[in-house]
Amino acid sequence: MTVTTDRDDRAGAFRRARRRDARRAFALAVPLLAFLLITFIAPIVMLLMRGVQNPELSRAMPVLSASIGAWDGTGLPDETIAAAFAADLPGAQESGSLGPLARRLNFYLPEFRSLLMKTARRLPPAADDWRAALAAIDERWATPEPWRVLQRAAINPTPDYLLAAMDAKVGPEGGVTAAPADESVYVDAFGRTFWISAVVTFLCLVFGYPVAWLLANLPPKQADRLMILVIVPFWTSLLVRTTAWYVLLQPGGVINSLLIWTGLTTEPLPLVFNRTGVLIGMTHILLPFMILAIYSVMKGISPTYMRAALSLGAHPVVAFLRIYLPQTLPGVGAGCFLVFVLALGYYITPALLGGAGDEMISQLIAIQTNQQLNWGLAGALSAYLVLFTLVFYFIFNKLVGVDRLRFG
Amino acid sequence: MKFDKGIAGAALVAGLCIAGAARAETISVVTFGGAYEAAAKQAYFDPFTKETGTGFSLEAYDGGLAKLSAMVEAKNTTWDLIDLESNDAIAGCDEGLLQKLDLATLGDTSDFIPGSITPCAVATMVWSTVFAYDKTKLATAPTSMADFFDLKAFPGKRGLRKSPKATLEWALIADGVAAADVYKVLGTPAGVDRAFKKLDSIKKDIVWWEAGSQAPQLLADGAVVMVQAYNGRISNAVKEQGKPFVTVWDGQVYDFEWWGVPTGAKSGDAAKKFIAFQAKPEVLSQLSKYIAYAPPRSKAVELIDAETLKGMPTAPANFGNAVQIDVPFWTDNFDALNKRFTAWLAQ
Amino acid sequence: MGQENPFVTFSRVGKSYDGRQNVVQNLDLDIARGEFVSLLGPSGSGKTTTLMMLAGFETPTEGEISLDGKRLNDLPPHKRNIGMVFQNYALFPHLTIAENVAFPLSVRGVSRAEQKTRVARALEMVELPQVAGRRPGQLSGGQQQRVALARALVFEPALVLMDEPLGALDKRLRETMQYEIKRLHRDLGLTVVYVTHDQGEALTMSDRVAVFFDGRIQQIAAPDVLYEDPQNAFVANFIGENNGIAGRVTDLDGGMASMEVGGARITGKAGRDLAVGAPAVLALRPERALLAPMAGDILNRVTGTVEDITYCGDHHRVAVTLAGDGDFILKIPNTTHHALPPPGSRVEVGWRPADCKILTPPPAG
Repeated sequence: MTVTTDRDDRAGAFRRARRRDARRAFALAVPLLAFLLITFIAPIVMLLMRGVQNPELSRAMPVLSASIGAWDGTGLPDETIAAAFAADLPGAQESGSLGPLARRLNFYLPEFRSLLMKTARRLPPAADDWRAALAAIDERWATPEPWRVLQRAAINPTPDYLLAAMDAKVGPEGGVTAAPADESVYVDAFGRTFWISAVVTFLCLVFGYPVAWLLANLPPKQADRLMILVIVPFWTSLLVRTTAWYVLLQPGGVINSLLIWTGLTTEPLPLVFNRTGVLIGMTHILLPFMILAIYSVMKGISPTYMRAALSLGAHPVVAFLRIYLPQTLPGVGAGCFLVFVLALGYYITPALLGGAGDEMISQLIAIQTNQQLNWGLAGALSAYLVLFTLVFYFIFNKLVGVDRLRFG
Repeated sequence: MKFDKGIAGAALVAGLCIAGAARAETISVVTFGGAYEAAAKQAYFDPFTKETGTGFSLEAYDGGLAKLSAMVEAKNTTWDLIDLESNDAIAGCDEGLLQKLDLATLGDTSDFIPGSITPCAVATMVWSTVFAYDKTKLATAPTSMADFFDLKAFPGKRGLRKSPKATLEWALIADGVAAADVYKVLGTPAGVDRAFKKLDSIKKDIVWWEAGSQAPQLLADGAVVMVQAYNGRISNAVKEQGKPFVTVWDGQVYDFEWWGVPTGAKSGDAAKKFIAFQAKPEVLSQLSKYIAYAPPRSKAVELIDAETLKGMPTAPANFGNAVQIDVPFWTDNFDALNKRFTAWLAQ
Repeated sequence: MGQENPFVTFSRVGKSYDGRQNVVQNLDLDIARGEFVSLLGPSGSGKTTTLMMLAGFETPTEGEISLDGKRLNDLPPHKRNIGMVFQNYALFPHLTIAENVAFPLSVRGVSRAEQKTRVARALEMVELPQVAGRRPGQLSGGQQQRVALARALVFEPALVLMDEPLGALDKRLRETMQYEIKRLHRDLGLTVVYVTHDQGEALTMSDRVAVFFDGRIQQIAAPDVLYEDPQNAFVANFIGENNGIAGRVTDLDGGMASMEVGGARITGKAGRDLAVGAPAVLALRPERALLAPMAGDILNRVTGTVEDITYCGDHHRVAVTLAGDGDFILKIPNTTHHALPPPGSRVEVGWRPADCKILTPPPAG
């Protein structure tokens, strides 16, 4: 038994009360945390995991995947490996796991799908020399290439998706090599995505800053009206706004008709299916984020600062540049961050308003997810996108501070 | 067969509402929506309901196996009947996403076009990728695939689907490859280079589209002078909106459209009954009344009047230089060629 | 004061925001060099608008403002060379204290070396040389206001305007700062126009106080004159405490007037614009009224009932109902000479005619 003083008792009571309050607060947040975990964090983690998982071969061909690692990758694998492949193949077809495997392997080597399917159809029930039997079905089995593919497919977790997302792969002799130029898609797409996002961010800043200033400085009645003009697009579906821009910008559309009618141009300007269309559409859609982020900061800047600067002898331009502008920088930073990060994930607008050279990374992820069913590559591309977003987040946090991210 | 996403959204919502109110025996069918869904409803779904009392709840999707794959993986398949493109019909069967069908229920199938019945899916119509132009805007009519690629004789923008499929075939045909040899040439690296080289010659004048409904729209807007399109979209624009569009059949790339039953479908048996029902010549022949797609069996073709037949991809006059899409080729090579295509687009 | 050569002049200045209602009307005001003038009044009385017109943030709709003989109307604020101190200090939050104080010098193109010495001197002057490297957010309110003063003075402006500069400070700090501002005014020979709604502050600091109400200067005078000799009932009620009994003028005789209050006749110094029979208001300070006065020159006598007595340390507040008119207040010094009458008792209240004024009532509304 310990002797306690009054003071210890009080401190203990205080700590207990604090813990009780903390528990109660946590209990209130539990539903939200659970919701976020189930609907947001878990799916994202699972998607990102897809970027390194490589379960198809081990699931479809357990014997082969355990033994093929022993092969040194030169010449042909020995008979036991070929026999393991032949032994696994009927079972894989039976269980339905051959299809996913074929799809997986086709990403490595074109026509592997049909090679595998053909082999499965024609496989003899027994053979003395499986290497010869396989080569008899298709002569490609007599080359090391398909075996190398199988060997790579046995590595789990695999770096291949992450490498492919950076236009690189592990070469036949090991070691990372860059993909040939006419197969390099993703590095350029990331670069293009960053560039488009940066330009959109810049345009939003240029157009949004004066509007935010007006919102913060007009008399309340006019400011409210202007605010509605800023907010209403928010209530309109992204698809509708994008389509509306298509209608406005197309060669026979409103803007070109107007330009031709006024004689400013004789030929319709190419405003859509190119970078111009993407930038116009994305800037319009993301502008409210920039405006609101800057506005929320401007609203908190008392007009007396400008007055003080003027009374101290600063020309209005100098006062704006040296006193007002620096105080709005947190809003500018927050707006730029928001717009940039949102732009990174843009998908529908570039798809509908852009041309061939304007594909952003999310479009490629969507193609891999929906059309190619290459969820591993989609996961790897997403992982890079998340990673780059986090990098920008940390840069932003260092420069401006995340607590500045607020609206209104 | 692609369609507008907005319509898809609306149809999805409508479909869900109907599903909620439906009776016990309802087939949940997912199609590419749009004009094709409307035609299938009149030609297939309504007669089936009349005969059996089984209702349908309609849903639209974008094609591809992603959603089906996710459903089957989650062991919660909410679709009973699915409208498929060829490569999905084959891959879906390989990957166990589609149920095997009892082909005996189809009766005598000897008059089906070879290759239009597979273990997991039965073809329901032939559709084709063609090109079309606005006759009020072109002085001389283009008649061949070479004309599509001839910027000197026919200056102006070209609309193409943003996919290597059909586009690479066209490039080779325009470059002088016979329709029968297209896949032989495309199967070699030199052939692929040749196709891209031909595409290079018109690249700066190509407007790429993605949803099927965009194609006639581009032509109507004057954004392009010739557009690659699904033949049904063009004929419907002519028939229903009176557009002055003309279809050029030379070098058409045709394909089957399929019905399949997803693994784990709750009303799978009813869906299978439906597939057998719609395969009857007298039912199959109805579809072409509503959209210009042809039935895949000759007994059904015989029931279609001569005037309607003229607009079909399979009509003798249109079929001269037709390419049947090589599904195994694309299943094997789509990944690689699409990667090359994507890289080429961005260059 | 030196009125013959005014430094700041408002001449028939008017200001309207909507073209109908004037927030400032027909304003004439002369301020001499070196003078400390306060603009005092309730909110909405026009005092701040007047200050803003002088600073250049508002434009007069009529009349003329001049500074040192130069017309100011069309001169933008940054060219007026007027230092200004704001209620909320308006220190630029993103600049250090030294940068804040150097700001008016740097926009004037003063060399860096000189900026440094003058900033140091200015901070020395407000006794805050140690905070030069800090940001405004790290300073207390009082320190921030000292810095704001230093910043407004560092460029040696011709005129310093202060817009309720002490309004955000607590009472004790306010008193210290009042002293500080007075010291600077005296030592530097500044001309100061000071806006406040705190009459105590205005009375203790100013050479002259202009009392604003309804867009007009009701009276401009030295503090003691305002208190002792209010020109009208508004000033009498606004400055200090007042027993403003209403009645009617019965008699006008030279400088004196009489009025009728509850049957009693009261005589006092006459204000302006009085007429026999017209309504009038008494102006009498509570400390000038006496309880049960001795005979003598205390000619004004009224009988009432004691309602309440409040102990206030150095004095008692006695509330009396006089002739049906409640809330007549007397301040009785706490001298223990005699016991105060208990509440409810009848008492006689009296005061000298010279200690009160009879004025026209304030305009309605």
